[in-house]
Amino acid sequence: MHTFANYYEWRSAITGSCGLILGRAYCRERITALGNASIPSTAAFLEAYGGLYLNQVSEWFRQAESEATE
Amino acid sequence: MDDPGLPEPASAPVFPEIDNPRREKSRILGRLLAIIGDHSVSAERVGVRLSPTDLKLVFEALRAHACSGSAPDFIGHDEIRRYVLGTLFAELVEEPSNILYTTSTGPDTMRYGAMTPAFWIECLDLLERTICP
Repeated sequence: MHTFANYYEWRSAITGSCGLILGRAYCRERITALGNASIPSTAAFLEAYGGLYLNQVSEWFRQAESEATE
Repeated sequence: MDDPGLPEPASAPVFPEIDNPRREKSRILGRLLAIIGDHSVSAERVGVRLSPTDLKLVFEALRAHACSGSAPDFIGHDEIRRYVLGTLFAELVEEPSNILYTTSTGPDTMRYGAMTPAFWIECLDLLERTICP
């Protein structure tokens, strides 16, 4: 696997390799942060992977938020 | 999106396949080891010796950034160590846009492609296995 082909691959990476919990509050915080390119980590994310990937990850966070139970 | 400066969603990002991932990982590993080596020397000048645990924290933060765009805080460390870890993170987080992987397109021609987040994570996994056994 060399890129995240879909939501499930990304979800597996973020909860497995990264050990993050996709709770509602965390997803909301990430959606907000990814929407603000003046935040340094968002700017670095944009620079490293491009706008399409950033938008895709924002969409995946929205899906994760809708599925979150806490 | 809150920031109108960000691009509108269009289609899924397309990253080209790497034709020799092992060779590319090896090349990238060498580059990352050199960066960490230089950073370790700088850290020692300010009295901080980077431990495998410190490096694991940075690698975890880099993996999280590749998946979520999040920034690390390195809470629980003193100010100098937090600075050293933060600057190492800042240096390494730029690498996916600095490193172009190569794909052979003919006997004498190469194509250069951008690093993908998942491939970057694989490189970080290899890096961690190499220096934090």
